[in-house]
Amino acid sequence: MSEVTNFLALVVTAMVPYIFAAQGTMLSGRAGIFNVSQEGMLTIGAAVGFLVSLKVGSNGVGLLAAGAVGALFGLVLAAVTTYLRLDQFVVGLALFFLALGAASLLYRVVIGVTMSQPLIPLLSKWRIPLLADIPVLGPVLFDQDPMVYLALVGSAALWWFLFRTDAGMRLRSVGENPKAADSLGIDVAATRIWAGVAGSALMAIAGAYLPMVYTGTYTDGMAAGRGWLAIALTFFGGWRPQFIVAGAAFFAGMEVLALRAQVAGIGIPHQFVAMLPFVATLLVMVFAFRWARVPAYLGRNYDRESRLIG
Amino acid sequence: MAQQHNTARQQDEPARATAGSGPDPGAGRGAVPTLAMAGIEKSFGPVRALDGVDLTVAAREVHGLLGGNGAGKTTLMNVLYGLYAADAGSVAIDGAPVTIGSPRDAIAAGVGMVHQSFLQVDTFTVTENVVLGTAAGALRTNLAPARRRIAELSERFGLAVDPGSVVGDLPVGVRQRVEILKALYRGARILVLDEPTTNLTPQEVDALFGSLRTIVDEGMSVILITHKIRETMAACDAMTVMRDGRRVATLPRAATSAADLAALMVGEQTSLEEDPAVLTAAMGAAVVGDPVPDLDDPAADPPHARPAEPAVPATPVTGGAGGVSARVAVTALTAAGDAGVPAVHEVTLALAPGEIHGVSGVAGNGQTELAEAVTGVRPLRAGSVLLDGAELAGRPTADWLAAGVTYVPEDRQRDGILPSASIAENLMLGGHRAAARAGLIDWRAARADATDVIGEYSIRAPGHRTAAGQLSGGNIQRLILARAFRRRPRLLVLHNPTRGLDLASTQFVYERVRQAAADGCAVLVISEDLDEIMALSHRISIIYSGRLVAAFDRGEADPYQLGRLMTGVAG
Amino acid sequence: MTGAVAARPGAARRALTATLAAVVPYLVSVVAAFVVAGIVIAALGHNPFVAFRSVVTTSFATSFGVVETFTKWVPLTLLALAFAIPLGAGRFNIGGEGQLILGATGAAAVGITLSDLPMPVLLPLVLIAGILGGGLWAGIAAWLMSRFRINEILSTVLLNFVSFQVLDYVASEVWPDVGAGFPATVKVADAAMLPTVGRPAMHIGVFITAGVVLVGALLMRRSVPGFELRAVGINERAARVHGIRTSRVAVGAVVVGGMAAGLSGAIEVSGVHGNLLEGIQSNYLLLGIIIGLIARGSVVLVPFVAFGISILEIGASAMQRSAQVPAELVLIVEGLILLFLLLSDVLAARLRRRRPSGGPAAPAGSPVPADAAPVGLGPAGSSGTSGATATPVTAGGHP
Repeated sequence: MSEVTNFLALVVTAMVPYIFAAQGTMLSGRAGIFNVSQEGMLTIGAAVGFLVSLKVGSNGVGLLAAGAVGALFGLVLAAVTTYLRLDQFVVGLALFFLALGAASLLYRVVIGVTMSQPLIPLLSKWRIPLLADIPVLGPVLFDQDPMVYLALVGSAALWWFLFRTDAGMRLRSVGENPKAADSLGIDVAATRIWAGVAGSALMAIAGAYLPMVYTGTYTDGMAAGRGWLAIALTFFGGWRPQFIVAGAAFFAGMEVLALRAQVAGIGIPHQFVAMLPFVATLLVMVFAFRWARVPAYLGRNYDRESRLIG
Repeated sequence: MAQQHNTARQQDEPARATAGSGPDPGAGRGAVPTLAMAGIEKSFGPVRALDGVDLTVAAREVHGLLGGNGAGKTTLMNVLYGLYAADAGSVAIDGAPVTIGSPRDAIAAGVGMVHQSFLQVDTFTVTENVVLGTAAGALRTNLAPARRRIAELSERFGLAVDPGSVVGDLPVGVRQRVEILKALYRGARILVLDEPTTNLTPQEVDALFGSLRTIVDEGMSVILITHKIRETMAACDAMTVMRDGRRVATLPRAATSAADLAALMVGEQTSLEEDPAVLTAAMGAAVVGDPVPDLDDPAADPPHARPAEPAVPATPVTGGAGGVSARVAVTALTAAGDAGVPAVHEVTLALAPGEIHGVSGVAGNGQTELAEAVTGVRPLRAGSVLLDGAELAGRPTADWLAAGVTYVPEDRQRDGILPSASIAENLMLGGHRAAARAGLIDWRAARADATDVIGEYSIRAPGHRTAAGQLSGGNIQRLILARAFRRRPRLLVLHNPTRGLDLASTQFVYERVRQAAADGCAVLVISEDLDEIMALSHRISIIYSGRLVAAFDRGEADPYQLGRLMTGVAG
Repeated sequence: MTGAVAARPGAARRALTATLAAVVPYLVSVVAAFVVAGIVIAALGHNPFVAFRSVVTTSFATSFGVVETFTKWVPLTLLALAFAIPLGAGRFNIGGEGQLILGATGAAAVGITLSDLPMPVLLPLVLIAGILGGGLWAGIAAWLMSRFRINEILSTVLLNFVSFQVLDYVASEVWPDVGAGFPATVKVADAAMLPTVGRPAMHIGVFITAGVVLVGALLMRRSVPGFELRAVGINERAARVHGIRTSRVAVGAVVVGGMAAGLSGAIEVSGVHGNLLEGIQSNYLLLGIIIGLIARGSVVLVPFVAFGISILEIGASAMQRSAQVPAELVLIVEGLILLFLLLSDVLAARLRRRRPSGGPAAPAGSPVPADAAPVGLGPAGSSGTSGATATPVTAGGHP
């Protein structure tokens, strides 16, 4: 495998957590829920995904378990903001702390302090016959682990769902003008709840992917800012699934580039190379925030009986 | 325009004849009513919004729901539409009791509602907005049949729209048609319209009433929420008057008069003689000096079809008209809207001390931008604003405030108050730099001051620490006016100052504005309510597309001529 | 404020009711959080009462515990201010640790390079360098926010990650202490160290912080900038319409917040560690945010909440030693206190509404103090529902 092909294959792998986390952010946001607990969801997802995979012996079950725990956090966020109308940012931050604490605690309780960390097997590659033989494109796109395929196919499905189905149109209407949706008999609360649940589940799955493809184990802080970057990516992608995938390639490219440059030693101090993804994101946001059209009701809670005075 | 209206009526006649049951509202009364609401009660916290209200609407009837602000009209209809849950009472449609717990139930029962602020998704197309929520399945049905059906409905009821356009780009009148189409598409048999004529020109009002007549002729019923008596008399077969959350009376049109309705609406406690302008405005009787009894005979007074007087030639707006006597001289003012596109073009105005100048127009023609530009809130692209000879253009908002420019914004909640801050703090807002000594604010003095203001301006609040957001709309406006007048303004700019206020509060606003003018303040009133402009102003300008297209002295303007100018039909 | 109220007859009872309304939710939340934590501890097979006893008593059992608690109180209070002050203007500063690190870097740089200066000159310079470092770092985010409308939550967080690399570079390349075994700089001059009092020694950064809190609270309540900050936080548009330069106020709030974090970085260097080292930021950012939110953004409440959290934190490590309960549990307890506090507000609002006339304290009974932030911590429906509160995120790129 050539150097370029190898680099691109690593980028595609690195895209997966960004795609899952950003699509989750996008999906919740399209229904008006602005989740800022991504970093926490990734962390708890990593811990649960790792621990369940280790105990059950199946990465698939680990991913599902992580998704379920993420869904639980999403349910809390969606329910207290929808029914009790608590501030979305504040609750999101609170859940971020809870998830960080819970992840750390779970690992300590289940594994304890050990000399050598237990490991789970990394996800195996599913080589797609014929397609994988295409030069460059084959090894980059069609000789990857199943989560890569799921991320790409899932993004396409999300696009189709949001922009080509009635249910998707209803979901978007809730994030744009919940009062209008409500007046047309759309169940605003239920829509927000399930969008919030699904969004957080996707974020936790993004986290569970990390130990399964990189380290084989869980360490505190292993989300390493990917959750926050996913929020930036969602804005960068204009809250549209297809552009989020494109943006994820950029974010993942930066991440792999920084890692590579550190290993290769290119003359400038490695710390400056390691800053690259974050600095690049800041620069990109200067442009992204210009044209990103956010859902009109993003981050706000809907109260049917609020009497607007005047 | 009158001609167009007549053709609409002529088309109506055969439709009524084939319908058979006859247009006489009295005839429908005996049969099973289309809608019967009984004993509806609803409270918001300690506030009792509806107190045992009954409402009966017959088939093929346009039913007016009449009352001042806070009378409970909209609340009652929100209960019918399932937006509010009633505390008690029953609803029956065609004699069968129904339970309406959500808009979904209401739609299923055949109720459609056109809200005052349109409930539309701005980023969706007309078709998407109309079909939204109708298909229960997960997969999108083909939109082509829906588009055809919308085109057919809009043809049949005279509601011209392009199904493919994005609603956020459409003007108010068209967006209202989309709302009506939404209800008709869902098979509504009872159509509720909440203050539908706000922001419409007289011509658009005629077209709307024509469509409503077609709709009832097809067998449906229409409920028209309004506070304008003239409209009720013009468009309704019967009307229910509400006051303070109670039903006061239900009358067929033939058995009542405008003056009776006005008395019912206002109640006994307010003396109507105090300010005829208030009542005139409330009744939608536009012409200043036109005595109220003129409306007595509704039969002889079809909707806005008073004989068109010869058009008053529009006086061109001349630059710097005020000369030496001008307190305020606005010259060639140009300002951009929020999107950066120019919204106000070359506006020139002069105001003498004590002059009240009214600017009227259809919403969205640059009024907000003009108001913000002449108060220093919005930066000017070009032009100058002189106040007593001093140039204010290009200086920060705080300097304008210090110079005596005061702004009473249209959106009181959004631009006027700090909702969770106390009355004392809200009174301080804007004057806080002037009031501070050595950078520190004396809150003890401010609180004492606030207590005085609450008494002087009859703000209904437990005390100075009450949060401004907890006040009612009228009391918020009193608070904002108190803040404005206590600064002894030299230029006072008011935008839609009485929108949503009840008669007493409206009267209060007019009194205070006139008092300020009498004290030498130059007043600029920008309002979409033509009646208000005609009642208050010494001089009237029409704004269209960000330009002042004509100006008239008080009394020389005719509402139809103004309506044509407001829509750009005449220039 | 309370003084003026109490002076009037009959107002004393109202003040008492208001105080109770403010205190009860805190008590309920703390108790509820401990109950949940106790269940978790019991489920893990430990004795919750033993665990809690060490949590609550460690800070006061020895003079060493008292000093430790106060020493921890300093960065917690300053980081909570770094969050709470911008929050007053409706801005979320999640960049406290980056600002702390840059403050610490500035302090260390001055303390190392200007080591020849006498203490009365050097020590103030070290603290000022810290304040400037934090202020400048926050200033980047503030500039991006006002110039390009970039959401400050994102920019401040991303700058945290950049700051980690700055620290690593300075500690391993510029002034490395090669013997340390991990990224750390050489020690600053003795003249750059904060004096201490008592025994065991407590650095005077504690008093500096107390002074900052007092001045801050006074300015928030009485000064023109304090009022403008509050106005911007409650309703940015109305503030702008009434002559307040909102963008300038928001930028100022974020920069001042950064300065508080920078000062805490300087105090960590010159009061605690004596050098800049990896991990100097500890988990102060998270704790600062939690404290700021629990205090509902009130500068007056922050030091008290910070003291409580500091007791919890000191107790947590003792709990791990004495009861073998993982110290990570304490982060969950803190998160739960916050969550329960939010819920108790909703509950209180519902109860108030049910009371027929609302009672005399109905409008004033809102437990949010005068300088509190406009986050949705008040009664349900006070924020986000009216549309009057501008959410900072939607301000980005959307008309």
